[in-house]
Amino acid sequence: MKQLEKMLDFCLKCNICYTQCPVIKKEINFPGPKYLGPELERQWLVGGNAGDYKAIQELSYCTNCQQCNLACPHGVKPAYFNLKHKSSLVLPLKDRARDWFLANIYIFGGLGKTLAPLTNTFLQAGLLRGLFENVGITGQRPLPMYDRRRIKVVAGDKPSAKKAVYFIGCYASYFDTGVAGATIKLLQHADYQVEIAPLKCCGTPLLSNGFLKQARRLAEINVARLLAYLDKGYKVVTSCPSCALALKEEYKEIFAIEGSQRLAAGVWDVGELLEAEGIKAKSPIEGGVYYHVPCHLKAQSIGLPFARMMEGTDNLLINYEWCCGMAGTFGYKKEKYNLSLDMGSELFRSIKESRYRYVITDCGMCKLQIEHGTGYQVLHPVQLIEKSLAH
Amino acid sequence: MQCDVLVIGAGFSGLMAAVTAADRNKKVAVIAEGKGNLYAAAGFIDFLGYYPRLAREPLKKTTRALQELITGEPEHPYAIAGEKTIREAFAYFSNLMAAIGYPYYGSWEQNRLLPTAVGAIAPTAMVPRTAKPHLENYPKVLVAGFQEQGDFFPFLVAENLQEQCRQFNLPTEIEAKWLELGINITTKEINSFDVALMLENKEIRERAIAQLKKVIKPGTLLVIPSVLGVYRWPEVLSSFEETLDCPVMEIPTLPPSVMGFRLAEGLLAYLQRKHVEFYWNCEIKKVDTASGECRGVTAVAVNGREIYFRARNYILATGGVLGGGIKVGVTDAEERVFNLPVHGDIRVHDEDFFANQPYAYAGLRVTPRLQPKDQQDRVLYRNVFIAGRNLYGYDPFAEKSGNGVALVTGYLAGALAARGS
Repeated sequence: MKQLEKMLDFCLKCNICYTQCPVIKKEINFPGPKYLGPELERQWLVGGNAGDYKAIQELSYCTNCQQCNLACPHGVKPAYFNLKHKSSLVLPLKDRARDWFLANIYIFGGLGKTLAPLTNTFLQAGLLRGLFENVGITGQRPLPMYDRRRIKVVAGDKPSAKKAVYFIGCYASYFDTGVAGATIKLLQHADYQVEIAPLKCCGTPLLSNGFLKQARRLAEINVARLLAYLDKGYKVVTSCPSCALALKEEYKEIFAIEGSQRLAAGVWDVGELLEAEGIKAKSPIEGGVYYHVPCHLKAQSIGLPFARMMEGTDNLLINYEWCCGMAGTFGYKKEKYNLSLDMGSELFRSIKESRYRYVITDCGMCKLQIEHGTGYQVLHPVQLIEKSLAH
Repeated sequence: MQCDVLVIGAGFSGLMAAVTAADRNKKVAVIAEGKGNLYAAAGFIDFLGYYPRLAREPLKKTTRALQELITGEPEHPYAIAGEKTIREAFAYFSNLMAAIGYPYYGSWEQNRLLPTAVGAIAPTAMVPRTAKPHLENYPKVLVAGFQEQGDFFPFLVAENLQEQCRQFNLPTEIEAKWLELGINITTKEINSFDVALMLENKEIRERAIAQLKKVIKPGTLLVIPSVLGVYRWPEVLSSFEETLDCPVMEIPTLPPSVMGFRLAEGLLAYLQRKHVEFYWNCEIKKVDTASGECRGVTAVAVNGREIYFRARNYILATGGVLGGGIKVGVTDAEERVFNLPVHGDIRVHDEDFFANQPYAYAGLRVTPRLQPKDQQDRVLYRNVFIAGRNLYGYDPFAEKSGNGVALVTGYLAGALAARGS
């Protein structure tokens, strides 16, 4: 984290980041990015743990949406300091255990998927939900169902020089293989030879929960494996904005892992790559499309590739203003459940008012939250584009 | 990435340029290193507060001073834009803000007097609905502040304001009052943004209004820090005004600025509806120019990969020295994107800090179409338009013209860039 120190002097305490924090707007006790980030870091630099520095409990309310990072006109990234301080937070053992469990869902992913009908019945059963409630996982939000379907790449008939390794991410791997299927089809449509590599979770849930060391270990494995592909001329593609941001920015900015800089430059968000390949939605999409832009997509500084691909669609409504409030594991925590829904309330209202036929978003977590908050079915943009091309 | 108009910078002039071009049905994209100064500034539109610049009295009417300025200083941005464009730009802004739902009042031709965060009186041209009343129309004023808020002191404001009113020959009587929100927050210092969020809650708001009701007489002007709601300001404002039967005026506070936030986010929401794309955290690395034209710019995304932007026209609104668009060395200065020549003396003269400071005028010289030009008046790039604080030839601090120049040149640059494609 040494590399972050040099940006500290650029924080003028102008508080622009403060106004962009979605948590403050609904939880007035939250001290906000400036205080929890750069200011706490200054205190820490003075005396470390021996001085006045104390990581405060409110840090666990930072959702790691990183909108503060985007707001700073001076290049400071308050969210990274927040993450750093979060990792030295001393939480009650019960909360720590609950956070660890939520952040490590990937470990159970493969097993849960293989035994899908069983695990799903088990997970939805009242007994287990009651148990979860006891350890601090809300019983009011449905747990995602394991998706039993296997993700396969059916090789195209003609060989191609364009090669992509697909970083599927936990959400599409275990809970929504339809996203992975559509992504693979579209990449093949753009003449890519697609390969799926044995990769680890990107580490974002661990990072957001303050398990920095464990996240780093996953990151190191991913960097090493993906660099091998990069060296063979592959492009690294993701369909999850949070995985993409981890690979594109966090591995190098937070962990400074050797080779992460080179890897970052070879990572593509699926929309970014498809748009660069000239793919566009074909048959007109009728009935209106509401596109919720996830925070970690905004943070990649690639604009809105899927919106460009859908140009000409009647009634395309883009929202990059309202947060969905889910923030990954955040929304599953019992004490944060109501806040999470409250943070998403403006988005839910706006979606319901639009009465559009399709609601799309790139992020699996935003999807779960919007479905829970509005009752609408939500698709990944790749699913809508693929559907339009199939007609 | 391809578009009609590429705006570089997301401060007031950049957003105005983007809105103007998007309203003319152009495909617009904005590249920015971060959000602009609006969130830290008052959110008022100054046009021309003092002219001549060292005059002690603020201008009441600005029309004649503008004529003098246009004849006397042909390189001033207002002279370059001309009165017709100024008129158009302000009319456009008025309609725009009404459409956005955060209407502005006033006119560039006539200044209003407004109290600052410490109770000084400053001239400005246009203010949002929440600061609409005219101070001079009210013989009785009550300044109220919240005890929980760490950075606003009503008694200080009242005392200074009383002194200032005497100087301006206003027979105003000013009193002050502390209010209590009744909220105990121990995790941070409360700023005006927090109070504004809290007052959106009906219960907290009614508690504050009840305390005022006891001391305020109907018809008194209530001056309050800028806390009347972040998003739900119409509801908050009207409940104060109706319950107390008093007009209410918000005054600017220390950052974060609630009035600035409403203006900036209002413009951003409008741009969102127009599908304008933003590339936040994106830095321009090189520009591709040939035969007097910009053919594209290369920016670097967060992952270090280059993105090539090809546009018909480009607007440079990177905010001068304070915005980071112009980098100042010990004896020289450079414009960071196109490496355009910076004109003027960049040194601060320390004989008299409050005298005219030549450095404030330093910036980029432009043609009547806002294209950058060199010392011999040759156009450097015909499809690049300069807006806002990058421009040469004005002193926003002494004149009080910062947002006015941003508005007028942002609008003009947006209109020219839309027309040219």
